[in-house]
Formats: sequence, C-alpha cells, structure tokens
Amino acid sequence: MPATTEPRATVNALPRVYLLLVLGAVAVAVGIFAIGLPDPHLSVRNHHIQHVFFILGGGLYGLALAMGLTANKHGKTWPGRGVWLAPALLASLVVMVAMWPSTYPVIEANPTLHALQHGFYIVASAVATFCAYYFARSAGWIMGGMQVVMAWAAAFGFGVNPGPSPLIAQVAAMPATASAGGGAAAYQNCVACHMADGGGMPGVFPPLAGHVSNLLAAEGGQEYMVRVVLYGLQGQISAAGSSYAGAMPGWGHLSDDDLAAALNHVSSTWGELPATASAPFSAADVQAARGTQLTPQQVHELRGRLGLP
Amino acid sequence: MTEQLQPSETVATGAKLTVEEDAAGVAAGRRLMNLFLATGLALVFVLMLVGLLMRLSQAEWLPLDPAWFYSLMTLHGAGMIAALVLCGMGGVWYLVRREAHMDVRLGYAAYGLLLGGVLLVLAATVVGKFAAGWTTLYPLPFVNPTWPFWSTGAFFIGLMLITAGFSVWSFQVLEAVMRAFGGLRGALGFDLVFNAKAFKASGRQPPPAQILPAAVIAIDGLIMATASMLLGAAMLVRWLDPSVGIDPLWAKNLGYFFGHLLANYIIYMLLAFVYVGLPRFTNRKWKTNAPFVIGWWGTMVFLLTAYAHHLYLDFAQPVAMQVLGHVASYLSAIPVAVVTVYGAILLVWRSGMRWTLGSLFMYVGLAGWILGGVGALLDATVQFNTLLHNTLWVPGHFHSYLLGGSLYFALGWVFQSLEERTTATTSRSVKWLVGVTVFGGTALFVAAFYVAGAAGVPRRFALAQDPSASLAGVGSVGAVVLIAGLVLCLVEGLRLWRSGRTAPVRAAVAPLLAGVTNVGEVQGD
Amino acid sequence: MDLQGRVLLTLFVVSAAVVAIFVLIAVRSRGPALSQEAVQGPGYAVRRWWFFLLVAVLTLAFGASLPFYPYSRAQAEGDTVEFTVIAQQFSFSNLPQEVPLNTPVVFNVTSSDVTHGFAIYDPADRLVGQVQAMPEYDNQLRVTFTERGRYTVRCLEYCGLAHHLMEGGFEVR
Repeated sequence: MPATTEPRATVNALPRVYLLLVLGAVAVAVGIFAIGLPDPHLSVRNHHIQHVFFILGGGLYGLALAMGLTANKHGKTWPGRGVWLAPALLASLVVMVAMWPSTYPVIEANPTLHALQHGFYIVASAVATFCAYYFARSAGWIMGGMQVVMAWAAAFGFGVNPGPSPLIAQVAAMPATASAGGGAAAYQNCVACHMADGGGMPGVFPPLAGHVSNLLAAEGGQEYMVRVVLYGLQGQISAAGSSYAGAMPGWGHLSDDDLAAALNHVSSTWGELPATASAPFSAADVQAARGTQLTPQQVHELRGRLGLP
Repeated sequence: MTEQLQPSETVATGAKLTVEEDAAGVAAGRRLMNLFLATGLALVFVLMLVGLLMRLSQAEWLPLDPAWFYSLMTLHGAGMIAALVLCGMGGVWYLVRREAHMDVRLGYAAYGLLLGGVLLVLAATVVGKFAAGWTTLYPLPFVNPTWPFWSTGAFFIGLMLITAGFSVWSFQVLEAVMRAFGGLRGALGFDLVFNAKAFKASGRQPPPAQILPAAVIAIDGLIMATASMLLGAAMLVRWLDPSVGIDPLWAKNLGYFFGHLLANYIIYMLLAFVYVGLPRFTNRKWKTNAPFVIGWWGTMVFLLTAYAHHLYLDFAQPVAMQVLGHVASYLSAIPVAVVTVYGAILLVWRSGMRWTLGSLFMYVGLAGWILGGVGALLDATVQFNTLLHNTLWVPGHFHSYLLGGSLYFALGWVFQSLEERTTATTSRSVKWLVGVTVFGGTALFVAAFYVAGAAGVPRRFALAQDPSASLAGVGSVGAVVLIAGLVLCLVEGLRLWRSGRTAPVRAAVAPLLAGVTNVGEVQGD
Repeated sequence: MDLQGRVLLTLFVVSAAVVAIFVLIAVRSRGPALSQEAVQGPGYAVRRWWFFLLVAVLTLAFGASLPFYPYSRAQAEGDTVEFTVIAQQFSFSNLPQEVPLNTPVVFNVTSSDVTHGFAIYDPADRLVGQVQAMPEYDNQLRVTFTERGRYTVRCLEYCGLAHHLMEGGFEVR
C-alpha cells in the first residue's frame, strides 16, 4: 500500500467496505458449514482448519469497519496512535489461547457454547485487525494475514500429536532378557543418577546407600519402593539429611524381573539389609503393583501418607 | 546546512513538522537509542560474567552444581539474545527516525516490553532455577521438571514479552519506512532494479543504505512473530493444561524458526550502524544500488528458509526441508560476502581512513562476521553436521558472530559517537592494548570452542572428561582477557565522553551530528 | 586425520586467509588516498569475479555433499543388523551388549520422555555418528563399524540436570 505525500483524494470507500463484509460473510459461512473442508468432528486438526475461516472472516470484518470509519477523514494522519498495537497483539494472542484444544470434546457436546466460542473467534480477530488498522492501514492487513497463518499452522501440532512411538511398546513386550548380571546389570539403568556406589548427587539425586535401609525398615516402605521404580517420584523429599526437589522418571517399561533385581540389588549391595535377610523383592510384587497406575506426584503423596523417612 | 532532513516527503500528511520540531524529535530518538544501547550493553557485560562462570565450571576450576549450571546456561542464552536485540532495535529505531517521524512513546513501549521480558527470564532462571535451555525444546520444560511450576510460565511469558516488544518495533519501523520512501516498493528499492532508467531519469533518490536492513528485518520480524506467538500460545496452554498434546517436531520447527531468526536479526540490525558509520571514517559513501538491494531481497528470503539447518538430524523432517535449509544457508553467505563485506572493503581500500577504536571495531567486526560465517557454512553442510551437531562447534560459530561481529558493531558505533564529540583521541598504545585483549581474547575464547567441537566434545555439558576441561580452561582464559579488554574500553569510553562534554566539537563533524544521511544529497561534505 | 579434523583445518586455513586479506586492506588504507570513483571501477570488476567464484565454490560444495546425505531409507543388503534403542532421562534402554564388526547396522531410536540425542563415540573417543531421539518419532542411524573395541553412547541433546551423565556403551566384535 504505497503512501502518498499529497492528501488522499476523497474516495468513496463504501464499495470496498461492502466487498470486505461480503467476503467476510463467505469465509464465516465456509467455516460454519465446513464447505469443502474436512469434517471438523473427526479430529482436532480438522477443527483447527475450520477455525481458520472464522478468523479470516472476523479479520475481514474488522478491516471493513476500520476502513469505513476512517475513510474520507481529511487531515487524519497516519500513523495513528501506537497504543492501538496493544489490543491488536493481545487480541490475536487471545484467539490462539482460546483454541485450547483439550476443551473441544466438551464444547462439541454443548452447541450453545460451541457457537459462542466460534463467535468469540470472529469478534476477537475483528478486534485485532481493527485495532491494527487504527495504527496503520497496512498493519491491519498484516495482522489479518498473521492471524490466518497462525490459525492454519496450529492445525499441525497444537493439540495434535502422533502419540508414543510403537518402538516403545515393542521393547516393553520383549521377553525379559536373562539378567546375566542379575541385579547389577539391572541397576545399570540407575547409575546415571544414583551412581555406581549408590551415593547419588548431593542436592540433585538422593543417595540409596544408607537411605534404603530406612525405607525397608518402615511400614509400607517396600511397597513404596516398588511404586517409585514403576511410576517415578516428583516432589520435595529429604534423604540422608539433604532436601531434594527433583523428579525421577518411572521405569515401568523395564520387565518385572529387571525391576525386582534392581530393587534387590540396592537393598543388598551396600549393607542395607541384615546379612541374614534374602532378597525381599520379587517379580510378582512388581507385577501386582502395576495394577494401579500412579503419577509421580501420587507416589510422592503415598510417601507422605506412610510417613516415610 | 544542518537541515538536511528530508522535509515534506518524510512527514505524514497533514502533520508537517517544522524542521526545528523534528530536530527535537530526532534528538529524542537519539536519547531512546542511547537507552536501548546502554541497557543492552550493560546486560551483555553482566551475562558475559555468567558465561565465564559456565566456562570456569566446565574447566573444573569453579565447578557449579548442575542445577545452577543449567539454569545459568538458560539465562545466558535468553538474556544475551535479548540484550543484543535491544542494541540493534535501538540503533535501527534512531536511524529510521532520522528519515521519518515516529512516536517515541511507542519506542519506549517496545523497550518496556523487552525489559519486562528480561526481568521475567531473570526471575525464572535465577530465582526459580528454570533450566530447560533458552530453546525450551518441547517437552523438556514440562517433563520431570526440577524447577517450580511458576518459573516455567514466567520464562515463557518473558520470551513472549520480548517477542511482543519486537513486534511493536517491527510494526512501527515498517510503517515509517513505507511512509517515508513510498510503500514497500520504495523502501525495498524495487524501482532501482526493475525500472532503473526511469528511476534515474526521475531524479528521485534511492533509500539510504540503512533503510534496507530496517525494512527487511521489520518484515521478517513480523513473520517471526507469527510463529512465536503461535508457539507461545501453545506453550502457555500446555503449561496450564497438561492434557493438551503438542507435536514435538512441530514445536521444534516453530521454536527454531523463532530462535534462528531472532539471533540473526541481531547482526543484520547492528549492521545498519556500519552502513552509516563506516562511510564517515572513510569519507566515502555507501551506495544503494541494484546489487545492494537485490542482496537484501535475498537475505530477506534466505533468513526465513535457512532455519531448517537446525533440524538436519531429525530424520522425520521432509527431505525437501533439509535441502532447503542447506541451500538457503549457503546462499545467505552471498549477500554478506559479496555486497556488504566487499562493499565495506571498497570503502576502506586506499581511503586514507582514520583508525580509531570506532573504525577498528566496525572493521574487525566485519572480519569476525566472515569468520563466524565460515564456521557456520561448514556446520550447515549436512554431512559435516552429523559430526558437529550439538558439539561445542555450534557455540564456536555463534559466539564468533554475536561477539566478534554484532557486539563489535555496537561498540564501534558507541565509540564513533563519542569520538565525534571531542577533540580528544585515543592513544596508539590504548588502541593496541584494546586490540590485543579484545580481539585476541575473543579469538582464543572462540578457538577453544571450535577445537573442542571438532574433537567431539558435546555442548551443554556441565562436566565432561578431557579434552573438554583443558579446552574450557583455554576458553576461560580467553574470556578473562576479553573482559579485561572491555573494561579498558569502558574506561577509555568514559574518558572520551567526559572530554567531549567540555572540549569544543570539531567543526567538520557538526553537519554529521544533525542527522544527515550519507547517500546522494550530501553535497560538498 | 578424521573428517572433523579436516573441517577444523579448513576453518583455520580460510580464517588465516581472511585475516591476512583484512590486514592487507587495512595497511593499504594508510598512505595516499584514492577517490571513491577511482576505486569503484576496478572494485566492481573484482566483485563480479568474487561473486562468481563464491557461487562456484558453494555450488560445488553443495553438489559434493549431496551423495552423503544420511536420509535415504533405501533398504540395505540383507545382512543389516537392526537394534531398537529407547532414550529416557537419563539412560539408554535396550542397548545391545555386542554389535558385529564390518556389518551395516541400523539403530532405531526414539525417546519415552523428552528429546535426547544418540551419539556414538569410538574407542578413541571420536564422534562417529549421531541422530536425534525425539518422543513420538523414530529416527534411524545407519553405521558400519570397522574398528573393534568399546564404543560409548552419549546424549547430545540437552535433556535435564543429568544430561552430561547420560551414557551407555557396547562392544564391537
């Protein structure tokens, strides 16, 4: 849009305003009736694509309104006030946030809410282009373009993801490899954080040597340990006098045998158990604990309820 | 003679400012630039100390707890980018303000947004120990975090504020150059290339050299903002609602598009200082001609497409994207080497130029850019990338650009401004001392990265076995020497500034202070 | 010298040349000055040559590197050995204990939590190959080991506080 140095001649802006209104209505209609679009009910991706047209339509409405209100204004200077950029940027951000893909199933079930949401997209995108236009004519069109591109790009990854790789299930399903080294081999999975000597990393990863004995001696400590290795642990704990606010990932993808072997390894290697006691953990214990899925935070809550050291 | 501002063409219809009013406005713009520069350079210095801590930790001379190392690493990345972006934004704002009226309050708004973003980033990393890296590669910020919930949000909101500030700047700068030079067509020099004869015959002047970076970066800046606003919205929603799925490859594409562009904008913005400043040292003009303009069109496109070189080892990316990244990375070298740096060489060759700290920094910065570029081109070659990706080669090349290129440009401009206000000069011995410490320190610091990278030492490792630790030691020494040199620069800069406030200004310099542009209309300079 | 060594050497040689050129030009800027017009004519002529030289070098480099792109998913000969490795914070699961020598090997790599890297270092601690390990995606690293010994696997994509400790290994026999 070339800027000129002479005052703009009086133009009748109405034809262009009407054209934008009509185009906007067409875009919104395409969105509502999903004309030529993939069925929005089928996936989040299709839903996003439908929304592109509401945002396009709303953007055009905003431009039409702004154009209509500012045409033929002699002496009106551009740029307008920079303060208009704030609602412009904010409105377009709010449109994206409002997409909140996890709400789509809820909204689909409620037609009024659904219509309101779509209406919101139209209004908010109109606000964005209207306000941008009031900063500068070209900015209005740029903002409209930005919004449409964002809405379209959202279809490729916002609330849309491929899901875990099949390789993970493949590995988990493999027959438990004979733990030739027994517990020591299984414990290799743990050395990165807990170290080969079980000492952990002060302040970062808690020690096992000297700490596991406290857990084993406590009521429910054994069951807790099984769940820690299966599901992980997240939350503040204290061990051996230090505080740890980290997070441990779960290892449920390892076999029951491997997990039990590792647990027995940490229980016996550093003298955590009296010499007479034998391996307290069995693969069956691990298997049984898989029955109830827990989150790392829930494991932490369990620790609290049991009052473990 | 001071009123060489282009009068009616540059000012918006119906709001013609008198030259006196606009001189006050340009001066206000200069003060805004100084604020951006001062804040940016102060932040750069502080973050250099953070970077030194990192290298000292890797050298095992001052081992840091991994929680501290990685959160400081996150701070250093985001903070340095923001700090240098501040310098660039301020410079371009002022240089465009000399051509067209712009509301300084909007400039301050952009500044405020950036500063707010930096403060949030500081809070998230230093107080919250947020440690997902400045690239926040999804899903790392959200999986087993060892930092509190609030710090994840604070960091993302901080990055979004920085992007918002950059967007405000982009909108304002783009609007101004379009208004002052006849729309996009004029600002991008379209007629110089496609209607050359008619353009020449009309007697119109092409836009001054510094307008091209302003226009190109403002346009690409808005494209960047599109991607980062979307990613930011997705991250915010994911932060608040863990049930929202995000495609990690999609997030990586958007994230690296944003990061690659913002980091590159730094050097292209600060380049505007060289376009304006170097001619003054050499008493020659930087011409805006067809090759120059075409070079910038190329840059505008290559910047956007080269980002794909960050995903060479994500084999799930379409191969076409990998090829595009490779080709665009190579092509982006051409405008730099053939138009900008060669153009600068033509300015300097047999010019009898004055060698002051100002010109030294600008000149060496161009060399630093080329050197960083060679490292980048090598890493951007897919075959080599399989062996250099995520090794210390990567920080080697981007420190060459950002430190040995962008920062030098900014320092060059600051010194030039100080030098033009005083009859005092920097002594030869100080110049040599600065050269040896700053350039030598930078070279040593950067070389340590490159050598380690070639040896396969991974990047972003709090600790690693040798040769990593010894090389980190070398790098630390280089950094200390560099920092000492910069302190010397600060002292010398203050000395020049103080003497400039009392000593008379050189008469020849007076017209240059009035904001004269350097192409075409300056007669009998 | 391994490939990275040659790349580093290239960087140093080119850097030295660039520095030399810049020093030369700076030195020549002293002494009697020429006007801009006098410099421009020959300057633009040289620029044309420089442009074509640079384009030629870059085109050749690109062409030479294309055959080495690691992306072909063409099935290798029948005796390719495949392994599946899962990366997670902070170790590699299902790494083989032994890998055959002089055999095309494919590592299928993914992650169960955040993006990791899968980088293989030879017994002399030289990086021989790497690929990303991104959750929900599979990447394949194709490599043939020609040297016996203990190989180390490291994570090269920052993945958390124990990133630098995430290591595994296998024997090539």
